[in-house]
Amino acid sequence: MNRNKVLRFVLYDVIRSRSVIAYTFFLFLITFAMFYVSHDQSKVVISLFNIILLVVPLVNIVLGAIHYYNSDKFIQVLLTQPVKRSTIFWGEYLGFSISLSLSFLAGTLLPAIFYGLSMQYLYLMLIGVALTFIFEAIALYIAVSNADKARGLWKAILIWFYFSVVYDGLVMLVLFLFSDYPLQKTLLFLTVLNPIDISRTALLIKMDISALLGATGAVYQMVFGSTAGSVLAFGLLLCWIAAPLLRAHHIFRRKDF
Amino acid sequence: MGRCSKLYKVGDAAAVGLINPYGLLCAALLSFTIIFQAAGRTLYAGANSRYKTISAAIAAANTGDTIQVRQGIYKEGTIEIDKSIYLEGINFPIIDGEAKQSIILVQANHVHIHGFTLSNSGTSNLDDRAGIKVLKSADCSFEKCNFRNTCFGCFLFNSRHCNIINNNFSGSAMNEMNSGGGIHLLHCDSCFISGNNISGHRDGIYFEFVTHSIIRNNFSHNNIRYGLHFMFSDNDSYIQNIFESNSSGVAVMYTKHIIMHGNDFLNNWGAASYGLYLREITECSITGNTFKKNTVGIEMEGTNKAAVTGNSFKDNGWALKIVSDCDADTITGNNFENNSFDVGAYGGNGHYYFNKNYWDDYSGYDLNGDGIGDVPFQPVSLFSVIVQECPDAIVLLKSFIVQILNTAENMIPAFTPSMDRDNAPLMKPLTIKT
Repeated sequence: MNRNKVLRFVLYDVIRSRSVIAYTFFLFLITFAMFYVSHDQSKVVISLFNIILLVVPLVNIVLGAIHYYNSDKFIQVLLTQPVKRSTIFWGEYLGFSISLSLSFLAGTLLPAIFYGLSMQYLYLMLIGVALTFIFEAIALYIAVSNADKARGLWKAILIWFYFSVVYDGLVMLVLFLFSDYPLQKTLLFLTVLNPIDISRTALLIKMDISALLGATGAVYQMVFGSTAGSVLAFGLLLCWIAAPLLRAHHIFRRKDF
Repeated sequence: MGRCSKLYKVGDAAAVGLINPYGLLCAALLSFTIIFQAAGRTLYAGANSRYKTISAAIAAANTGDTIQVRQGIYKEGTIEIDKSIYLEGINFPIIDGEAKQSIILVQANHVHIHGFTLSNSGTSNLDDRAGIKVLKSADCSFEKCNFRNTCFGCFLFNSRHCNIINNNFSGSAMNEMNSGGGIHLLHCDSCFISGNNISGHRDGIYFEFVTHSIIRNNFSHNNIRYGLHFMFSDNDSYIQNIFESNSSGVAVMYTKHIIMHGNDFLNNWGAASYGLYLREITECSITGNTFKKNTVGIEMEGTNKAAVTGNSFKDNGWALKIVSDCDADTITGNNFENNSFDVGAYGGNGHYYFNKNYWDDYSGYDLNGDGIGDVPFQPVSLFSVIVQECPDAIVLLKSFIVQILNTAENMIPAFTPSMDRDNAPLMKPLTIKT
């Protein structure tokens, strides 16, 4: 049994699950409604961008954690077979992440194809997929490192809350407390430490609204504005996938089921 | 004339007079210059005419004569007009400055130039080269000319009662150093500028020490600095103009008694752009204008006794940015819709009043149904204040925490630190008359 087989099992299983269908339907409805209300692509992008940055991490980290906990028995059965642990691990992760990415793309891309696509919109899609993979990786890390399901789920929600809300609040506080100092570089560094912030700034820079960012925006424009900057942003997001995933892999290989 | 379809009429001048007391004088004089049509001879210039060059025809003309110039290309250095004549082009003859000099130089009263294409003045660091340069003259008019590739289009110095009407200016300015204004007035009085289409200059229209003048129905777009630029120019008005996609829309500085009515400020978008910039202004009125898609709709600095009424602010970054030392400004009956920030108030010590505006962010209620919200609206949001304190925080724009702050402010108004408030916010947007 190879990795692709595990992946396929998981994919078919997940894609038919009710919560994932609901997620797709929700995204589809929201996107469709936005295109319906406003035919201005850039306006749709900016409204959708707010929702995607909020909803995608939440849904993925929670659904991911639930799925990995529920797959416990399935994994144990697989482990009785002559299958390598890393095969199971990658199959599980990729299967779940790919199915949620597909459901994300189905929900957001179909209405956009109907109304016309722009580069900005595709960029937003790419960011959405990257966030899916990142928060699946974090969910998997939580699941393998916490045996108790309730505790794990609670942690998942806390982590989402931290990245979405608390972190930016802390950044604001730091800026406020140290407003007498030049903070642009510090701010850039702080941005890199939060995948949602990286996504947000990388997208903001691509939009008209970047003109409002002033001097700080100019620094960000220098870093994230060019094609090389986009590559850098996705490189950073890739790091955010790799870090929790490798750690989870490490634990999973030694885990006593 | 593209978007400037509202053509100039004599009646317009009278209408302006009703709005602006200083315009009345202007209007009266304007009517006078149009009625005054001296009977004189008609001379012809052109390849098959008695006078081969325009200069020769001018030399032969007397005061009050008309010179009709036939179609063709004329290259004869700077054409100097030193007597009161009518210079009329038939089918837009081209006068070419060959990138060496100003094209027409006017130094006489009652000169009328009509229907030419003036091209290629070139640029110079020593003199101000222009399509039509007017020095110390009065009662002149310049109509229906095309200015192509001129450094300054129409340059008026020390002149009075001149009309610049329905011309087309298309410059090719690359940078501020080597370019001039499309319509450039210095030390002038009672001039009337209407129906012009100006692009590709440093400033579309530039006024310095110009008084009692009217700018109306012009379309100033894609200029590299301002669409319209006022310096030290009192008692002027600009009405129903469109300023679009300039580096910045309009700058009004160090002046008083300016009327700004019914203009469109569109698409002045960029890191350091604004629709309208006011600096050291006293007693001006800003009414019935549309500010759409500007980084900053109006930026005010040292602006006193300004009445901002009946304007529409839509899709701007900041609708209104009040920078410092603003006193006794009233902001009433405006629509604020879909701006990232409604009002940014910097510097403090300002005294300005908001009343009866429509704010799309307002979420109060109206129990007695009189169309006025029962709870005051605070246009300076908490995030806006944070951004004032530490500008770096602007990168959190559109983040979830900022939305939470905004929601919290709606529920608990005490959250907002700024004391600026609109005590009678409207429940529905106003119909803006322009």
